[in-house]
Amino acid sequence: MKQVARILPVGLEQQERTILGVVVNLLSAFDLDVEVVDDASEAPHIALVNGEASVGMEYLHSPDTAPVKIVISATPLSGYGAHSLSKPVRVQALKDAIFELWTQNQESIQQVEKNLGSRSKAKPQPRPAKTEAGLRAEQVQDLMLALLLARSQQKHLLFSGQAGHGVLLDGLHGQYYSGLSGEAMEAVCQQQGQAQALGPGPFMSAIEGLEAKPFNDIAWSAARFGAAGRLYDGAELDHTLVMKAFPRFPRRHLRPEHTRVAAMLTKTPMSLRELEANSGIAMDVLIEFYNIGVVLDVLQAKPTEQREIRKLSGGKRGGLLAKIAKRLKIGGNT
Amino acid sequence: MAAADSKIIFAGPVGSGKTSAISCLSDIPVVSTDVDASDETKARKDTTTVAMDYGFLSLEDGTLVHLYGTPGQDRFDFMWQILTEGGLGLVLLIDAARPDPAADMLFYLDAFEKFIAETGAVIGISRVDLSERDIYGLLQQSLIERGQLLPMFEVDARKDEDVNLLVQTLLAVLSAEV
Repeated sequence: MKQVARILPVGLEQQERTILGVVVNLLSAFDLDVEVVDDASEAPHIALVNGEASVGMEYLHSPDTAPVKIVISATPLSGYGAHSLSKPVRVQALKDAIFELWTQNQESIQQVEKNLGSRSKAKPQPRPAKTEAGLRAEQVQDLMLALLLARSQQKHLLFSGQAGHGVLLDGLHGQYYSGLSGEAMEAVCQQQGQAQALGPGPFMSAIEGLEAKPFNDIAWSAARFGAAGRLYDGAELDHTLVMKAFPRFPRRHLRPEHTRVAAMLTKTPMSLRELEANSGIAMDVLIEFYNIGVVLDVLQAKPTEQREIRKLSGGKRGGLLAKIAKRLKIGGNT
Repeated sequence: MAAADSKIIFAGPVGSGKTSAISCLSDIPVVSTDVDASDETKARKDTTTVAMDYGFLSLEDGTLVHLYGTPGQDRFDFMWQILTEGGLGLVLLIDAARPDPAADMLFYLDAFEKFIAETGAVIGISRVDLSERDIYGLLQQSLIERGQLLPMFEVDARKDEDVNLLVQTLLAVLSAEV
């Protein structure tokens, strides 16, 4: 039976809230639904506290805190009966911490439920969506989200980064237009910003005189900063990923985990869960790769009937492959 | 070859970098059977491999992974079937500077079709800097039209890291067998 954990974010930065959102989706796969509450009066089981924000420290010093506290800070913070995570917090680390602390602290968590007494007992909320199919321009905070929105909904967008730098995105053709230099464009890939949908007329006027470049030139860099492992466009962790074409890997942003996953998918279509189980690669990295695949239009997630996670054998030569990888000093579970 | 030993095959047109790639991996200096080229190959290289290149990787348990480069000229294609027997997989190198790299690739994919289906393959596009065309895009389009999905990278076959990337990718393909 699914349980519902109430988590109170305290003083989190935008990026940390984004990561919490990803973790919420992941935990639902472990029979733990999460309700993110906004107020300490909602009897949270777990508080996720920014240890570098004044509001976070005030919370830790207050008499009425959640029984389980996770503090995120650049340097480990001891005391307060809290579990400490280092900044920048990673999806995998946060997911593991919440799951383990939830399991280990059932007694005090149950006490929270009892203390609710006559107060309206928290009702299980609807299971949070694993994906965000309805991404809207006003939700876009970074270039990767803008690329995902443009591609999945085949829109024309203007993404405005800091310092007024703008990038025009043609989601239909997978191309972008910008007068920025390579260095400035790289900076935009790693900045927060906003998106605005453009109609065909204004878009055509805006791109006049600008050179069209493929999304491939910016997606790999943008993915390192943006989207933060969220799945979009109706994809779920159990959907089978079908590769339509092998992505073109740029030298500058070549990541071994990505090349490995891509290679595996050329041989056998697999779900993100199967990839995680068979490659040992963290889910947030896998989702990052999937998002790039969506932007480049080389990957498609297809719903499949629920099935056991297949364990790949590597044929009869799994041991030999591992020895060759070791000999060549290639990391991972090849 | 001992029973537990295996081999990786390197194929591709003349001058695509097979010998260089094997040199990057091999524990021994590559044993090449280059001779003076006497036909149209002469225009591209002074010597060419008429039988095969050979090197090996020695694993910690003493197992050898033999590295064979097939002869680049198709008149030696009778050798290819023999070389692939017992092979782990194929590294196909395509020279971007040749007149029709897509035709070269399709020729080798046809020639090694059965071997690739039974094992796996990865494509390395070499000498990209000598071509002004988008050879990657051309080859990818050819693969899509053929309905074949293979990993492909632009590489410098003289660089260890690039050759390692090809082998790493080939191993990942082979590991994904259900």
